[in-house]
Amino acid sequence: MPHQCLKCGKVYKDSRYVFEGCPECGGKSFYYTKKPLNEEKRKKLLEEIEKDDMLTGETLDDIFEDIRKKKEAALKEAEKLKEKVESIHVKEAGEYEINVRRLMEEGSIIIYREGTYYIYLPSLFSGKK
Amino acid sequence: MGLFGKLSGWLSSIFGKKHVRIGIYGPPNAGKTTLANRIAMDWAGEIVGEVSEIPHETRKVQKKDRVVIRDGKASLTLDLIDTPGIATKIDYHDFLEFGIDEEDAKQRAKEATEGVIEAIKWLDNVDGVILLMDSTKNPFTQVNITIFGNLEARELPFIIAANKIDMNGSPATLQSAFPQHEVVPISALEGINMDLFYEAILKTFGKKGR
Repeated sequence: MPHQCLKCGKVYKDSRYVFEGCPECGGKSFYYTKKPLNEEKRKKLLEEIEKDDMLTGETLDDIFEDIRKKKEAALKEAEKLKEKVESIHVKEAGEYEINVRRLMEEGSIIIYREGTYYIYLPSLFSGKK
Repeated sequence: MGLFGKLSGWLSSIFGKKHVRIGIYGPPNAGKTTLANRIAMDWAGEIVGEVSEIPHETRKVQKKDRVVIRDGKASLTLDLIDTPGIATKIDYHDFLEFGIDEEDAKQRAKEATEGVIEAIKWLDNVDGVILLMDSTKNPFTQVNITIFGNLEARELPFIIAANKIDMNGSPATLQSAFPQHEVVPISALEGINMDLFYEAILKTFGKKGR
Protein backbone atom coordinates (compact mmCIF):
# COMPACT_ATOMS: atom_id res chain seq x y z
CA MET A 1 0.00 0.00 0.00
CA PRO A 2 1.16 3.55 -0.65
CA HIS A 3 2.51 6.02 1.87
CA GLN A 4 1.34 9.59 2.06
CA CYS A 5 3.54 12.38 3.36
CA LEU A 6 1.58 14.00 6.18
CA LYS A 7 3.22 17.37 5.61
CA CYS A 8 2.62 17.97 1.87
CA GLY A 9 0.18 15.16 1.04
CA LYS A 10 2.21 13.61 -1.79
CA VAL A 11 1.67 9.86 -2.15
CA TYR A 12 4.53 7.41 -2.77
CA LYS A 13 4.31 3.78 -3.74
CA ASP A 14 7.96 3.27 -2.85
CA SER A 15 8.32 2.89 0.91
CA ARG A 16 11.99 3.94 0.89
CA TYR A 17 10.89 7.58 1.21
CA VAL A 18 9.50 6.69 4.62
CA PHE A 19 13.10 6.33 5.75
CA GLU A 20 14.70 8.98 3.56
CA GLY A 21 12.07 11.64 4.09
CA CYS A 22 9.75 13.20 1.52
CA PRO A 23 11.76 14.42 -1.53
CA GLU A 24 9.21 17.21 -2.10
CA CYS A 25 9.08 18.83 1.34
CA GLY A 26 11.47 16.86 3.58
CA GLY A 27 8.58 15.63 5.75
CA LYS A 28 9.43 12.73 8.06
CA SER A 29 5.95 11.52 8.97
CA PHE A 30 4.09 9.22 6.62
CA TYR A 31 0.67 7.64 6.64
CA TYR A 32 0.15 4.16 5.27
CA THR A 33 -3.19 4.07 3.47
CA LYS A 34 -5.16 3.15 0.39
CA LYS A 35 -7.20 6.33 0.71
CA PRO A 36 -5.08 9.52 0.79
CA LEU A 37 -6.13 11.95 3.51
CA ASN A 38 -7.23 15.54 2.97
CA GLU A 39 -5.24 18.44 4.36
CA GLU A 40 -7.42 18.84 7.45
CA LYS A 41 -7.04 15.18 8.50
CA ARG A 42 -3.30 15.25 7.82
CA LYS A 43 -2.89 18.36 9.95
CA LYS A 44 -4.84 16.73 12.79
CA LEU A 45 -2.74 13.57 12.61
CA LEU A 46 0.51 15.53 12.60
CA GLU A 47 -0.64 17.50 15.64
CA GLU A 48 -1.52 14.24 17.42
CA ILE A 49 1.88 12.75 16.62
CA GLU A 50 3.64 15.82 17.98
CA LYS A 51 1.41 15.98 21.05
CA ASP A 52 1.53 12.30 22.00
CA ASP A 53 4.81 10.88 20.97
CA MET A 54 7.50 13.43 20.59
CA LEU A 55 9.64 14.86 23.30
CA THR A 56 9.80 18.61 22.98
CA GLY A 57 12.18 21.35 24.05
CA GLU A 58 14.73 23.76 22.67
CA THR A 59 17.58 22.86 25.00
CA LEU A 60 18.70 19.61 26.60
CA ASP A 61 17.39 20.82 29.98
CA ASP A 62 13.96 21.45 28.45
CA ILE A 63 13.96 17.93 27.00
CA PHE A 64 14.93 16.39 30.34
CA GLU A 65 12.18 18.38 32.00
CA ASP A 66 9.74 17.06 29.40
CA ILE A 67 10.98 13.51 30.08
CA ARG A 68 10.44 13.98 33.81
CA LYS A 69 6.89 15.26 33.29
CA LYS A 70 5.98 12.46 30.89
CA LYS A 71 7.40 9.85 33.25
CA GLU A 72 5.36 11.24 36.16
CA ALA A 73 2.18 11.32 34.06
CA ALA A 74 2.68 7.72 32.87
CA LEU A 75 3.31 6.47 36.42
CA LYS A 76 0.22 8.30 37.68
CA GLU A 77 -1.86 6.78 34.88
CA ALA A 78 -0.52 3.31 35.68
CA GLU A 79 -1.35 3.78 39.39
CA LYS A 80 -4.98 4.58 38.52
CA LEU A 81 -5.35 1.15 36.91
CA LYS A 82 -4.79 -0.51 40.29
CA GLU A 83 -8.30 0.55 41.30
CA LYS A 84 -9.95 -1.23 38.40
CA VAL A 85 -11.03 -4.81 38.98
CA GLU A 86 -11.48 -5.74 35.33
CA SER A 87 -8.60 -6.79 33.12
CA ILE A 88 -10.55 -6.10 29.93
CA HIS A 89 -13.29 -3.56 29.39
CA VAL A 90 -15.38 -4.14 26.26
CA LYS A 91 -16.75 -0.72 25.39
CA GLU A 92 -18.44 -2.09 22.28
CA ALA A 93 -17.68 -4.89 19.82
CA GLY A 94 -14.25 -4.08 18.46
CA GLU A 95 -13.35 -1.51 21.13
CA TYR A 96 -11.37 -2.79 24.08
CA GLU A 97 -9.48 -1.29 27.01
CA ILE A 98 -6.87 -3.61 28.43
CA ASN A 99 -5.52 -3.39 31.97
CA VAL A 100 -2.03 -4.64 31.11
CA ARG A 101 -0.85 -4.23 34.67
CA ARG A 102 -3.56 -6.50 36.12
CA LEU A 103 -3.01 -9.11 33.39
CA MET A 104 0.73 -9.12 34.01
CA GLU A 105 0.68 -9.04 37.78
CA GLU A 106 -2.28 -11.26 38.53
CA GLY A 107 -2.99 -13.17 35.35
CA SER A 108 -6.72 -13.13 36.09
CA ILE A 109 -9.09 -12.43 33.25
CA ILE A 110 -12.12 -10.42 34.29
CA ILE A 111 -14.12 -8.90 31.47
CA TYR A 112 -16.44 -5.95 31.99
CA ARG A 113 -19.16 -5.38 29.44
CA GLU A 114 -22.32 -3.27 29.70
CA GLY A 115 -22.37 -3.20 33.51
CA THR A 116 -21.63 -6.92 33.93
CA TYR A 117 -18.41 -8.56 35.06
CA TYR A 118 -17.48 -11.91 33.52
CA ILE A 119 -14.86 -13.89 35.42
CA TYR A 120 -12.85 -16.47 33.54
CA LEU A 121 -12.31 -18.99 36.31
CA PRO A 122 -9.41 -21.02 34.82
CA SER A 123 -7.33 -17.83 34.89
CA LEU A 124 -7.81 -17.69 38.67
CA PHE A 125 -7.14 -21.38 39.25
CA SER A 126 -4.09 -21.68 37.03
CA GLY A 127 -1.89 -22.65 39.99
CA LYS A 128 0.81 -20.11 39.11
CA LYS A 129 2.20 -17.68 41.67
CA MET B 1 13.25 -32.63 38.11
CA GLY B 2 14.68 -35.66 36.34
CA LEU B 3 18.31 -36.64 36.25
CA PHE B 4 18.80 -34.95 32.89
CA GLY B 5 17.21 -31.73 34.18
CA LYS B 6 19.50 -31.73 37.23
CA LEU B 7 22.54 -32.41 35.09
CA SER B 8 21.70 -29.69 32.58
CA GLY B 9 20.98 -27.22 35.41
CA TRP B 10 24.34 -28.04 37.01
CA LEU B 11 26.17 -27.73 33.70
CA SER B 12 24.55 -24.42 32.87
CA SER B 13 25.44 -23.06 36.31
CA ILE B 14 29.08 -23.81 35.47
CA PHE B 15 29.30 -23.06 31.78
CA GLY B 16 26.39 -20.66 31.31
CA LYS B 17 23.18 -21.33 29.45
CA LYS B 18 23.42 -22.71 25.95
CA HIS B 19 19.77 -23.00 24.97
CA VAL B 20 17.20 -20.38 25.97
CA ARG B 21 13.68 -19.38 25.04
CA ILE B 22 13.53 -15.65 24.40
CA GLY B 23 10.36 -13.60 23.94
CA ILE B 24 10.30 -10.38 21.94
CA TYR B 25 7.91 -7.99 23.68
CA GLY B 26 6.83 -4.43 23.13
CA PRO B 27 4.05 -2.13 21.99
CA PRO B 28 2.39 -2.59 18.56
CA ASN B 29 4.43 -1.43 15.58
CA ALA B 30 7.72 -1.28 17.48
CA GLY B 31 9.11 -3.72 14.90
CA LYS B 32 9.01 -7.00 16.84
CA THR B 33 8.37 -9.23 13.83
CA THR B 34 10.90 -7.29 11.76
CA LEU B 35 13.47 -7.95 14.50
CA ALA B 36 12.50 -11.63 14.79
CA ASN B 37 12.85 -11.91 11.01
CA ARG B 38 16.21 -10.14 11.10
CA ILE B 39 17.58 -12.49 13.79
CA ALA B 40 16.17 -15.59 12.07
CA MET B 41 17.45 -14.45 8.64
CA ASP B 42 20.92 -13.56 9.98
CA TRP B 43 21.41 -16.91 11.71
CA ALA B 44 18.98 -19.42 10.20
CA GLY B 45 18.18 -18.00 6.75
CA GLU B 46 14.42 -18.01 7.30
CA ILE B 47 11.79 -15.51 8.35
CA VAL B 48 9.40 -15.84 11.27
CA GLY B 49 6.32 -13.93 10.10
CA GLU B 50 4.76 -11.30 7.87
CA VAL B 51 5.16 -7.63 8.73
CA SER B 52 2.88 -4.70 8.01
CA GLU B 53 2.59 -1.04 8.89
CA ILE B 54 -0.94 -1.63 10.17
CA PRO B 55 -0.79 -2.05 13.95
CA HIS B 56 -1.53 -5.50 15.41
CA GLU B 57 -0.43 -7.44 12.33
CA THR B 58 0.89 -10.20 14.63
CA ARG B 59 -2.08 -11.43 16.63
CA LYS B 60 -0.79 -14.87 17.55
CA VAL B 61 2.52 -15.87 19.06
CA GLN B 62 4.97 -16.95 16.34
CA LYS B 63 7.91 -19.23 17.06
CA LYS B 64 11.23 -19.96 15.49
CA ASP B 65 13.16 -22.70 17.25
CA ARG B 66 16.86 -23.38 17.32
CA VAL B 67 18.40 -20.18 16.04
CA VAL B 68 22.10 -20.47 16.87
CA ILE B 69 23.94 -17.20 17.51
CA ARG B 70 27.74 -17.23 17.52
CA ASP B 71 30.46 -14.80 18.48
CA GLY B 72 33.91 -16.30 18.29
CA LYS B 73 33.87 -19.31 20.59
CA ALA B 74 30.65 -18.35 22.35
CA SER B 75 27.37 -19.65 21.00
CA LEU B 76 23.80 -19.64 22.18
CA THR B 77 20.75 -21.45 20.82
CA LEU B 78 17.59 -19.36 20.89
CA ASP B 79 14.00 -20.44 20.62
CA LEU B 80 12.56 -17.12 19.49
CA ILE B 81 9.03 -16.14 20.48
CA ASP B 82 7.61 -13.22 18.51
CA THR B 83 4.62 -11.90 20.46
CA PRO B 84 1.64 -9.73 19.53
CA GLY B 85 2.00 -6.06 20.48
CA ILE B 86 0.90 -5.16 23.99
CA ALA B 87 -1.54 -2.26 24.10
CA THR B 88 -3.88 -0.72 26.64
CA LYS B 89 -6.52 0.25 24.12
CA ILE B 90 -7.55 -1.52 20.94
CA ASP B 91 -10.18 0.24 18.87
CA TYR B 92 -11.39 -1.05 15.52
CA HIS B 93 -11.92 2.54 14.33
CA ASP B 94 -8.12 2.88 14.13
CA PHE B 95 -8.02 0.10 11.52
CA LEU B 96 -10.76 1.63 9.35
CA GLU B 97 -8.32 4.41 8.44
CA PHE B 98 -6.16 1.78 6.70
CA GLY B 99 -8.98 0.89 4.33
CA ILE B 100 -10.05 -2.26 6.23
CA ASP B 101 -13.84 -2.79 6.27
CA GLU B 102 -15.75 -2.58 9.54
CA GLU B 103 -16.36 -6.28 10.08
CA ASP B 104 -12.72 -7.19 9.45
CA ALA B 105 -11.56 -4.29 11.64
CA LYS B 106 -13.71 -5.52 14.55
CA GLN B 107 -12.40 -9.05 14.10
CA ARG B 108 -8.84 -7.70 13.99
CA ALA B 109 -9.44 -5.79 17.24
CA LYS B 110 -10.83 -8.91 18.93
CA GLU B 111 -7.88 -11.04 17.80
CA ALA B 112 -5.43 -8.32 18.85
CA THR B 113 -6.98 -8.27 22.35
CA GLU B 114 -6.69 -12.05 22.59
CA GLY B 115 -3.11 -11.63 21.35
CA VAL B 116 -2.26 -9.32 24.28
CA ILE B 117 -3.48 -11.97 26.73
CA GLU B 118 -1.56 -14.70 24.90
CA ALA B 119 1.64 -12.62 24.88
CA ILE B 120 1.40 -11.99 28.62
CA LYS B 121 0.69 -15.66 29.38
CA TRP B 122 3.85 -16.61 27.48
CA LEU B 123 5.92 -14.60 29.96
CA ASP B 124 5.63 -17.61 32.30
CA ASN B 125 7.42 -19.74 29.70
CA VAL B 126 10.41 -17.67 28.63
CA ASP B 127 13.96 -17.53 30.01
CA GLY B 128 14.51 -13.95 28.93
CA VAL B 129 12.99 -11.04 27.07
CA ILE B 130 13.98 -8.60 24.36
CA LEU B 131 11.95 -5.51 25.19
CA LEU B 132 11.66 -3.63 21.94
CA MET B 133 10.75 0.03 21.96
CA ASP B 134 10.29 2.51 19.16
CA SER B 135 13.02 5.12 19.54
CA THR B 136 10.96 7.66 17.55
CA LYS B 137 8.21 7.61 20.17
CA ASN B 138 7.78 8.85 23.71
CA PRO B 139 9.10 5.98 25.88
CA PHE B 140 6.91 6.84 28.86
CA THR B 141 3.81 4.93 28.03
CA GLN B 142 1.83 2.73 30.37
CA VAL B 143 2.78 -0.26 28.24
CA ASN B 144 6.54 0.32 28.37
CA ILE B 145 6.58 1.18 32.05
CA THR B 146 4.32 -1.73 33.01
CA ILE B 147 6.32 -4.30 31.05
CA PHE B 148 9.59 -2.91 32.39
CA GLY B 149 8.39 -3.02 36.01
CA ASN B 150 6.95 -6.50 35.61
CA LEU B 151 10.12 -7.93 34.07
CA GLU B 152 12.13 -6.53 36.97
CA ALA B 153 9.68 -8.01 39.48
CA ARG B 154 9.89 -11.40 37.78
CA GLU B 155 13.70 -11.12 37.76
CA LEU B 156 13.73 -12.15 34.12
CA PRO B 157 16.88 -11.08 32.29
CA PHE B 158 16.05 -8.62 29.54
CA ILE B 159 17.58 -6.34 26.95
CA ILE B 160 16.00 -3.07 25.91
CA ALA B 161 16.44 -2.51 22.19
CA ALA B 162 15.68 0.97 20.84
CA ASN B 163 14.47 0.26 17.34
CA LYS B 164 14.05 2.46 14.26
CA ILE B 165 17.23 4.50 14.74
CA ASP B 166 17.20 4.83 10.92
CA MET B 167 14.03 6.94 11.27
CA ASN B 168 15.33 9.90 13.22
CA GLY B 169 14.84 8.00 16.46
CA SER B 170 16.25 9.07 19.78
CA PRO B 171 17.87 6.14 21.59
CA ALA B 172 19.49 8.64 23.97
CA THR B 173 16.04 9.55 25.25
CA LEU B 174 15.25 5.89 25.80
CA GLN B 175 18.52 5.44 27.65
CA SER B 176 17.71 8.40 29.88
CA ALA B 177 14.27 6.92 30.48
CA PHE B 178 15.75 3.65 31.74
CA PRO B 179 19.12 4.77 33.07
CA GLN B 180 19.75 1.64 35.15
CA HIS B 181 19.44 -0.61 32.13
CA GLU B 182 21.52 -1.05 29.02
CA VAL B 183 19.71 0.17 25.90
CA VAL B 184 20.93 -1.12 22.53
CA PRO B 185 20.10 1.23 19.64
CA ILE B 186 19.26 -0.73 16.49
CA SER B 187 17.45 -0.67 13.19
CA ALA B 188 15.99 -4.14 12.68
CA LEU B 189 14.85 -3.15 9.20
CA GLU B 190 18.21 -1.83 8.02
CA GLY B 191 20.32 -4.17 10.14
CA ILE B 192 22.12 -1.32 11.91
CA ASN B 193 24.07 -2.16 15.11
CA MET B 194 23.04 -5.80 14.99
CA ASP B 195 26.57 -6.87 16.03
CA LEU B 196 26.17 -4.93 19.28
CA PHE B 197 22.74 -6.41 19.73
CA TYR B 198 23.95 -10.00 19.30
CA GLU B 199 26.78 -9.31 21.74
CA ALA B 200 24.20 -8.10 24.27
CA ILE B 201 22.12 -11.25 23.69
CA LEU B 202 25.11 -13.52 24.35
CA LYS B 203 26.12 -11.51 27.39
CA THR B 204 22.64 -11.26 28.93
CA PHE B 205 21.06 -14.61 28.13
CA GLY B 206 24.10 -16.86 27.95
CA LYS B 207 25.55 -15.92 31.29
CA LYS B 208 26.28 -18.29 34.12
CA GLY B 209 24.18 -19.09 37.10
CA ARG B 210 20.62 -18.55 35.92
